[in-house]
Amino acid sequence: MHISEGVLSLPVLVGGGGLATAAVAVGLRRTPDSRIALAGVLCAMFFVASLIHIPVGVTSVHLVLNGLCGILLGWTAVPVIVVALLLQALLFGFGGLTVLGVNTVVMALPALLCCAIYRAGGGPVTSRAALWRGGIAGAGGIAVGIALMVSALWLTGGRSFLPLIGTVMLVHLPVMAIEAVITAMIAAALLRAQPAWLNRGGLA
Amino acid sequence: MPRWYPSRPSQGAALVAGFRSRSPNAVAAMVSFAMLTSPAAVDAHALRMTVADDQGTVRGQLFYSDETVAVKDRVDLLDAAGAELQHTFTDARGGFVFARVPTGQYRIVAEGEEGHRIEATLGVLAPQSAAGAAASVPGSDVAALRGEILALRQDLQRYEQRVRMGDVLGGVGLIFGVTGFVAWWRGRRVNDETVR
Repeated sequence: MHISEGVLSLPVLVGGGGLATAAVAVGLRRTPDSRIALAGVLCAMFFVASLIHIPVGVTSVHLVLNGLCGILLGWTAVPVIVVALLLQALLFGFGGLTVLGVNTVVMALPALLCCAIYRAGGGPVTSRAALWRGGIAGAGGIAVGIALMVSALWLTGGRSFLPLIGTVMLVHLPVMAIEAVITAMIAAALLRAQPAWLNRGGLA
Repeated sequence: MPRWYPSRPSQGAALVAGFRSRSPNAVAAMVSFAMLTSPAAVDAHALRMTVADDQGTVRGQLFYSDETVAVKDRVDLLDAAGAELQHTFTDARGGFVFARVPTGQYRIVAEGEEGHRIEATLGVLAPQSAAGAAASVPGSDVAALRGEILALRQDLQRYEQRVRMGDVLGGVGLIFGVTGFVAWWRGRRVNDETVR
């Protein structure tokens, strides 16, 4: 899900960079002190998640966990994701510095969307609702991310990227399933143990 | 190569234990711990390439950072100015070959699916004389040695591009360190105000 250096055109890079900068600014403003520690833990998790790969046929895909970051952190997910992506680019060579903005948008925008879906109407009340909404957020974070990634490639006008979306979605189905399960389980567990985590300082 | 599966029982048990303890900190800690300690959590998705010159024949391999090979992806051979000279597609083992490349500096650019791309520069030294050409005749000792060195060079390149555990731990440590610093900084201000 990391777009490499030298693939995208300048307008797409600049657009992504601008959008990401604005979102990070909003994210930092909306981060209460009480959420800093949780943000650090999830940042470390997001950073490491991309190293966990799942074999799919001849290829393999990796976890992203942006949906989970979204429902737990709300707007704070944006600065968290940008820091994790920066370190992934510097230490692992995933993505790159010039594409940091676009990659942030590709992964953080779905996180915000997942948060909005999860917390719609004041958030779920029952465990079962939390499971469902968590599952939708987990899978949706990946699906929307892929759509954004393919759009960025399509806007650049590369070698017929749009027909790719079907295959890309297909190989990511296992990731969507796994992230749906992880996110649903954590959402349901937290709803019982610490419901404030899932509602405090949402998108509103 | 060991792979990480989320259904691995020991980690599943750790997660369940985390949930039962009803402490969200425990859950978060367990999840990140399970991820950190999972046996194969050291490879993932970025395109990687090895490339070497074999007397005017450029050979290379294209693979992802988790060492699955990149099949049927396009590889371009560009001159130093960026003009395309040749292009080819990787075979079932991710390998590619450009034959009869004259002496010079080149850029090799490969593009995979999903916006993956990798670029490398390579100096090519084509054989000048008949003697040099004879050395590359298959079956000769020199040719065999050359082949082995080529394979070794590609192994080294592959090793160099691997994600190292040290990088992973360094990154996680940096994140926790910065988080701790920010928390301390914010907490310090609150405490100062309380004192006043």
